Amino acid sequence: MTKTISINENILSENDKLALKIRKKLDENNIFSINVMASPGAGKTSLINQTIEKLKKKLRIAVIDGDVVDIDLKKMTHHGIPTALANTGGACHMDSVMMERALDSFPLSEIDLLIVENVGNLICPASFDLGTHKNVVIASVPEGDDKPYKYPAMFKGADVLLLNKVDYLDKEPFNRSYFRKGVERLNENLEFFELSCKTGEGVDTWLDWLGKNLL
Amino acid sequence: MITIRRLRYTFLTVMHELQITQALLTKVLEKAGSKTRKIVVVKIVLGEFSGFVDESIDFYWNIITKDTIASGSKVVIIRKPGKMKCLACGHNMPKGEKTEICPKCGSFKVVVKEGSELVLQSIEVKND
Repeated sequence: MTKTISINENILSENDKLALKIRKKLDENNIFSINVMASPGAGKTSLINQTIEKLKKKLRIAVIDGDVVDIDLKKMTHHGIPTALANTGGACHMDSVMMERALDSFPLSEIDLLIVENVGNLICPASFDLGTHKNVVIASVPEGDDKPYKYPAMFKGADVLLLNKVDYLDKEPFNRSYFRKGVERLNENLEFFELSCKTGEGVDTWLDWLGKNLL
Repeated sequence: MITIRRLRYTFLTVMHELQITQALLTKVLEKAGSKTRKIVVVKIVLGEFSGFVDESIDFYWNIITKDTIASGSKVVIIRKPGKMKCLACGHNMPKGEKTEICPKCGSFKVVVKEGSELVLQSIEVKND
């Protein structure tokens, strides 16, 4: 005999519920956390490395890397900070279950800043709250000036937008005002900084923003 | 019959649905409880703007339910149309129209009002 069990539960809200729990846990431990999102090669690892290098004497930093392999993670582990690989198994985004699992390995009371390096992708990570405090999106000059028009959800959900590789501006047909216009029509409250992780130009402005949020 | 090559290709390209289908299976098994011997039908409501492709959910369901009490069960997908609204001027977009900018006032403050969900509505189970 068959019977019907009525459920009516939103599967997608499970992620958001867990994300709220994670955010609360981070708050209780006075941890400020950022979710760094960008396409592959835009400079997520470079930015995180620069940030750790400049701030590691002042702050206790930890990094979670959403990836399949630990190539990026190895570039950060040498700083002597807590790191964890949130193995995505090849998935296109991180979710709060992966985030919670990765957090388990950290001494939370000994962390001030938690940096999450999400999977290199401008679409899927935008839909999944990880429980972090701010969304940091990196775009880079060689990718082209049309990214805000092609991936609106990612730019709409960002709190900070970093335009990386500005040292390429004179080598690429990148129209800054077209790019800015594309961003502003989606998100007028966005903080916007231009920088180059290679030359170090503009990195201090980003660090100042981070510093203000850590107060 | 799905060849290994096709399976590999599909796993590499639509992993997005695999994760959510796993979350769905976890919820289904939890709700079925320990007395259920077999899950026959799983009914879900899938919003047009949820970002998930129903064929992919169906595809993964058949793979991940193997060796569980949901093996061989059918996923019935009820599609719900998407609707968006502009919070700045109040304009309601026609059903199914997805936009990031309001066509009336140009504001970016457009939000999805309906059709972003993936709801597990009910399951049909056999206990004997």
